[in-house]
Amino acid sequence: MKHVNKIAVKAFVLAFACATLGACKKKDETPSASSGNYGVALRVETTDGTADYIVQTNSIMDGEISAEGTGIEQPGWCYYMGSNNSLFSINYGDEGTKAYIMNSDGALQEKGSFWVDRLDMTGDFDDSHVVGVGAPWGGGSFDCELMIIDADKVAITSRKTDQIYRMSAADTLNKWPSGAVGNGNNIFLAFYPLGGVSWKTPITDTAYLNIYEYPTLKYVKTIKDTRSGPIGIYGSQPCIFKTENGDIYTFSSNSIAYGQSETGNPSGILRVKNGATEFDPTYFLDFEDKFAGRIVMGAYLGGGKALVRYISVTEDNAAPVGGWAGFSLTNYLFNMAIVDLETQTVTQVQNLPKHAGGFCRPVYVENGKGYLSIVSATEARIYEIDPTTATAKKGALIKGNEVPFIYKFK
Amino acid sequence: MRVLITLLTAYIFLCSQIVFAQQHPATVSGVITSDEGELMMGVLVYLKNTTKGTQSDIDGHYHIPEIEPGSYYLIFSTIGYKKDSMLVHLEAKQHLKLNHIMQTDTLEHVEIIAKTDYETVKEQSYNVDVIDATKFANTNSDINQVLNQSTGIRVRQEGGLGSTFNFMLNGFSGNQVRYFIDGIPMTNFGEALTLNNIPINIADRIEVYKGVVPVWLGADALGGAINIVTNQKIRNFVDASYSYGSFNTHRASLNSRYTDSSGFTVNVSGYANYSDNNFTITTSVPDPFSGQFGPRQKYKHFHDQYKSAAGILELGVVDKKYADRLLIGVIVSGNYKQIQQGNAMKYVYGEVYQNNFSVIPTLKYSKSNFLLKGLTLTAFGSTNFSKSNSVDTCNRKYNWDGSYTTPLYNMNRGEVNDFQSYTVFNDRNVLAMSTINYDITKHHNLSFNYTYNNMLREQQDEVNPSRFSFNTATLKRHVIGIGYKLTAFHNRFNGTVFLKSFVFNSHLSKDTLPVNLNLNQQGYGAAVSYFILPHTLQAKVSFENTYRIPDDAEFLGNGLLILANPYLKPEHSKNLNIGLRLTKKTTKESSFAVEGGFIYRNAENFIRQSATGTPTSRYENEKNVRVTGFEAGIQYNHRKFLYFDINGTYQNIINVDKYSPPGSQRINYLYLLRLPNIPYLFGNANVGVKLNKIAFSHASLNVNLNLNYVEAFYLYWPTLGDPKYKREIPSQFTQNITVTYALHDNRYNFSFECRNISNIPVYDYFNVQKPGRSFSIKIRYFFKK
Repeated sequence: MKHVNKIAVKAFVLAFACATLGACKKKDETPSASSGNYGVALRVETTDGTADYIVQTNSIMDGEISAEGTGIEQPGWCYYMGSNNSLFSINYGDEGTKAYIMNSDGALQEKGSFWVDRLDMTGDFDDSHVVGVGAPWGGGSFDCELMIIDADKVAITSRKTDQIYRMSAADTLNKWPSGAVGNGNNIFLAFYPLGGVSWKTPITDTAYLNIYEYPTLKYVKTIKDTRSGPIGIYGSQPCIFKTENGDIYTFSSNSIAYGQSETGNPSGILRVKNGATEFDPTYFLDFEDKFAGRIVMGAYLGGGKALVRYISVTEDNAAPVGGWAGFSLTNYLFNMAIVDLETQTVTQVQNLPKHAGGFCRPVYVENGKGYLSIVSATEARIYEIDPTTATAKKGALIKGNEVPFIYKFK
Repeated sequence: MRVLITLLTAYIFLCSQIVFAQQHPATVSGVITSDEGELMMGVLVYLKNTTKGTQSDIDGHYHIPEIEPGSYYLIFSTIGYKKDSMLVHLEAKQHLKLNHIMQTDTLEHVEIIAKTDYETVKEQSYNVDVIDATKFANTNSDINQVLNQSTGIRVRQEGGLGSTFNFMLNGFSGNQVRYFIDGIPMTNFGEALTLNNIPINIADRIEVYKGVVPVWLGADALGGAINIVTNQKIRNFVDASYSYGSFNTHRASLNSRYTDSSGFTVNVSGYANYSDNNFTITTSVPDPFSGQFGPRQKYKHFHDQYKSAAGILELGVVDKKYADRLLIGVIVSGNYKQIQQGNAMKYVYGEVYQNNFSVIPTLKYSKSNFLLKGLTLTAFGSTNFSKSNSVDTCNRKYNWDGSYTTPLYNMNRGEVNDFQSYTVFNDRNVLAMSTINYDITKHHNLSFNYTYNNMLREQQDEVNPSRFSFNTATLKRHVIGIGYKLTAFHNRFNGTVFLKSFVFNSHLSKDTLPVNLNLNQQGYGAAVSYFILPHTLQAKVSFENTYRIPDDAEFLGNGLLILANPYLKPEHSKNLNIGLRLTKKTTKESSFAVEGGFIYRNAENFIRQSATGTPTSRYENEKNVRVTGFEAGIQYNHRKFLYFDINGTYQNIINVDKYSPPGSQRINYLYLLRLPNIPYLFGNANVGVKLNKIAFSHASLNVNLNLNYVEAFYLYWPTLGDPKYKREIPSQFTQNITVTYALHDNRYNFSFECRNISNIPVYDYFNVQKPGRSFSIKIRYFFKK
């Protein structure tokens, strides 16, 4: 008791030394040196205590990725994108969206910031321009806001309010943007219809793409394909990409685990040939037929090879409707596969644990290999995926929940 | 038969005694004054070795009737004065007049052991803080602002009068702490009767039970309970006040009671609050096209008006054979609140508001020596009929300068949500509670509490009828507690053990959810205290293994993007307090107290809203935390002339989740780290000086300085990230001053108050600016008889 009282007295004295001085000087902690060309977004918790850090590292394959005493703290849960040698963290709070560049000392530095109501989808138009769309949550409004973000100016340079697509005047469904890519003077925007309040998806029999002119965002047309279902789904970016020759490929998910309320036309890959403004009627990769799986996200690694994350049709059908099972970091439902787009062969990636999905962001690609954070039952770790051998290699251990984004500064 | 004869004999004997005495009774009466010439109320006057006795009334008058003639020792006794004894001879029919002067006691001879209510509560075995609210009666404070000066408590407010607040006690917040007025749960008193609203004048004292909650409060509190105690002792009084201050803030308050000699009593109280809350904030507004931030500029809140009013009327009787107190009453309350901004300063609103109207009939009953000697029954019943609206039916987009734009098409967006809504909640909430307290002997006491709460909610959205997944819900809660208290070693030892049982069931209609939910949980606890030095040094240890049943909103969601979670488990915590308290009366009117304590909380299954990036979220049992802390305080009173107190709190709230997310096998790299965004070191000090006979002999001047310090704390996890980029809520040292000039012995009070004298920017939350320096004046009339 005496001891306790002593401590109490000590605590008391400490408290009031502070109070009378007006301020306790904080200990000067020496920041651990952070360097490296990689800017890695590290998320340490996924729920209300979420904190994100942009950490610099020389290697994403060795050692650990940790924010212990290092890294630039972000204002909570952020989306990330990279453009024009800048890493962007997107946040709806007062600090807005920030662009970080690497200064001559090799340290990250804030280049600028801007504020946007919502940015539910981003897709590269070219090396320094990003197409962004903000969409309404909770229904009531069909308006989306289309934007062009100039990564060099760190500002929005074009805006347009647009309802994306109305099937008829009686259409009650919102159109949720799921991905965008630029080709020539056209922007190809993928979206899917959903109930604004219920998030239900009653229409699953058509793949849609909107075409807009760059940079005016003038609507050109909507193209459709009924061999597969809607392209992309909430949280499954990216779902649309362009190959070296300008062909555009799209993924249709048809996944209950990613929030579709009913299944429809099979998950698969469609194509729009370079210069065309219609789907290629000669091309359709039926992933359900070929691989008994449903694609939830993917990336183009180059050389005609794509990396896809998929869930087996059986497991996806077993997922509870409206349960968003794919988002949970404790449901290990997913595998990955390499797709040869030309030959339409699909090969499962070896040495990769079955893993959780979460809110998907772009895969980092370097020298034709894909790098991303894999959350398995026992750990979160960066994996390197080699499309030529369809094998995965263990990279750096993530001392946190996940790495939503990896970027390399030139 | 023999029993009957014995009883009959005894009865006849008793009657004959009375008859004999009443044949030629004598009386003794008189007036008692102090040695300073004041009439003295409450002096005990009795005849030694008899049952005859009385207390002097408000005019110092006493009267003992029907005394059998003879010789007696007449005793005069009261606290702080010498006990006097005098021999009197009473003849038959004699009416003796005997005035008496009480002599002030001197400390050399008698130790004063008189205890105020404050001390009696304070000396319970629980870890309890008592705030003497009367000290704040002339300030322009609400209950929250007063509580914020106590150890272990931080009230974090988002803005001005009426704004949303988060009450935190030892790291527990929101519904984990339960609130009471005179032991009655505030949960069904309507939205206008909340801690950020009720003027301090309504309270006589505020009791803060930390971690361990007595049985008679009948609640499933996880972290403790706040009990606001109103003055029940004064039979006739009026306490009326009005204040006006910065941001066009008006507050009026009335408390009054009338009791006649027959015991008929009327309580009338009420208050009204109004504020424009048009304080200044600084922000940079993004360009509407490019999104780039403009220069930081000053703006005034333009849509933050708040008004609330409540009236309480009670009629009944006191001091009757069948009831010590029997009151029927009604509470009528309402509020209206505009909402200025969303969770970031970039979300500016100009039309959104909420309102509430409640009518609450009440019944209060208490009776001591009910059926059995030593058995006290208290009962309370109420029904709350309440209607609340949240209205977001405007599609404008406001800017900080008050201008707005209207969308070109799709006119049905709201300001807060993308859809317009007009939410109506119709609630009916029945509360019944009763407590039986039985003093078996002087040393053994049993108590029993049963509290029942039945809530019926009907909800609809008038512009968006398909919005809610259910329209009615019924939730029933039962709390049953039983406790035993032992007092021993000449009151030096006090020990309490108790058991509590929490039962919950609910029923939802129009729904795909499971229709019925049932929960049952048992808690227990104990509290012991011992005076190491009698009346001076007390040691206390208390423990409770407690549960909190999830609240309606946590079970049911909001019918939209917060999903229902019928599988929520109760939150659970093991709470321990160890404390020492030293009190010393240095003279009759001067005293000194030092106290210090250690707290420990081990809580699991903390309920929190869990959103993982999907459009929906739900409440889940997710967090396990451990709290260790120290609290200490010193109080000093010098002859009602000088008052001084200082206290400090250090609390270390750490994350004890080993895995992230809980339930997975992945290491939580935040294990054992301090939880961010919660103050961990803070303190308060008050210095008050009272000068008597300023200008008039009946006038006094009171100056009180209040100092408040909160150490800086991080918004996010403390050890992660380069310190130079970390977001921090800065350390804050604020001062408030109140000057009160009182006339006619505190009957007329004129106060001037300045809050945040140095006008520093104050924050409870990161980047959410609270009002700066403010001034107010208050006029208060207080009369008691």
